[in-house]
Amino acid sequence: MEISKNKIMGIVFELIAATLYIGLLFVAAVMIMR
Amino acid sequence: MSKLKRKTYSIGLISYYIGYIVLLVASLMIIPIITSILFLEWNPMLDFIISGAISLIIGVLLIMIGMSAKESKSNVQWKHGFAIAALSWIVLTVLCAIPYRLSGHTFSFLDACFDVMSGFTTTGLVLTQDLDHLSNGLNMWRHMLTFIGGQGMVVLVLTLLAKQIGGAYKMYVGEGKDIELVPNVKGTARHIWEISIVYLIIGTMALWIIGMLIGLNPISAFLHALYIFESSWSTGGFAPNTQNIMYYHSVLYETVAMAIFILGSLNFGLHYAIWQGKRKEIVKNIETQSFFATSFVACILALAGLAKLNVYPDAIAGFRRIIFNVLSAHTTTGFGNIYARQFALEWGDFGILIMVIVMLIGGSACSTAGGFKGLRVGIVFKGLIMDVKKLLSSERSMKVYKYHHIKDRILEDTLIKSSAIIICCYLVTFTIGTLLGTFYGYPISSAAFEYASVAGNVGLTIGVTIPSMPAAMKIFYIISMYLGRLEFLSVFALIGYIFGGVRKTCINILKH
Repeated sequence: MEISKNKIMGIVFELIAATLYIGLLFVAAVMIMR
Repeated sequence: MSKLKRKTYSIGLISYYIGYIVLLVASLMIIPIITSILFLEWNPMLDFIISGAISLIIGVLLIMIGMSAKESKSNVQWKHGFAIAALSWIVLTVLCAIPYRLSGHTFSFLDACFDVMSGFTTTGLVLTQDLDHLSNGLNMWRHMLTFIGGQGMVVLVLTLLAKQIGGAYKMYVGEGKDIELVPNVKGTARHIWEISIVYLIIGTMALWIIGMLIGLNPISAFLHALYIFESSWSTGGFAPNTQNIMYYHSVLYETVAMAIFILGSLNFGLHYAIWQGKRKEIVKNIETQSFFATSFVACILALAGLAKLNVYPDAIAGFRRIIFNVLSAHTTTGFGNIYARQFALEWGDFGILIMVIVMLIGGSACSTAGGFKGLRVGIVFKGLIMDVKKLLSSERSMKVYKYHHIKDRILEDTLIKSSAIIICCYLVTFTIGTLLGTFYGYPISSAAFEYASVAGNVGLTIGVTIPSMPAAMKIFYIISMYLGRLEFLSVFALIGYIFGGVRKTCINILKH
């Protein structure tokens, strides 16, 4: 298994994307349930 | 070659590769054996030694039966590939259920097979009793099975092989995966495992730290982190406790698990493309577009529906209970942070219907997730738009319609048809499963919810799946989990292969 900059950036990108999506859903929950 | 010789050939070839797969997967029993030794659990250790020995003997016998066919260097054809993939799942389910039954935590061997198939297919429904007092060895085995099942048994074997074998791609496709990350299938299998292992390290570390922060001791926190990661990434839904993810009472633990199962439900091809620097793939890909659209709409509708019922008092509770469960259902994970009966008693028909729909849609193709997959929903949707556009455009115009999935592809009628057929297969089995549930006296909403969970390999329960449920339902659920995971085609090919063989034999007997 080789470690490359692209791989590390790819993992960070995926983690940020998943977190942002969860964050978006949290905002939606706040907007609907307040 | 005579017909009889060709048939013996085929059986030998299938037997050889199944033996090979059985041998490699059974050799993994060494991990729960080591775990049992480390925790001084002697009885579970013996259970695994007995099960491992039986599996090794059967694996060696199957290889010996097929050795002559293998030596004759015959080719693995598509029918063999499908039969190997489909049969190896059945043989392994029976063999891997032995330690469950020996542990005494299941009421019958059928229950043990149910739990193993639930693990392999990453469903997560449980008939094993007293989960809180399960040995570490058996817990390790349960979660390993779901982790291996998520990636696929054939994928695992191809990864461990020293050299490429002929017909490997046919077995790989037979297991419900079709994407090629690199031109050779062995390389593809290795990349799938590389992606999973990298996330295993990251996810387990994150959950381990949070586990210690919420008060678990370091060893217990590590084991829980490993188990929850394996279940989340494989979109399995098993947990080492009866209360499932609720046990941790931690919004952080649930959020990290949520991030892991969202990533686990994405196509391995998408992960690979992003790791190769193609970041735009996440917004261009038809599958992610489909998943984010359907999951977002489902979450909004569930939030609105449950807000109307005043089930949860504030946004935090709404986020934790509604968003978590809807995403858990949509990604086909099956982690639940409310009690099973709360779905029936609090969520109302609208909430249950949303859950049924998202459980049937499921995650991505060539991922660890089940359901009829976002890719097919996207293709059928695009096909519908294409047909409408064709109707509205001039008769003389010829336009090629495309969709993007890793690369631009032509939207052909045959692809739309095959996607629609698989969706129809899911809907037909869903109808039959729901009918069976209502036949045994369950309310229609409960029967539909439970069966959608089974067919989509989800694992959320509304309270139907318990050891005292009718044996016919258990058997039908086992078959449905298996059909859902292998996406019908392999199993149908296997049935066709067996019936074809039986028919030919009967005709030959009658002729003579």
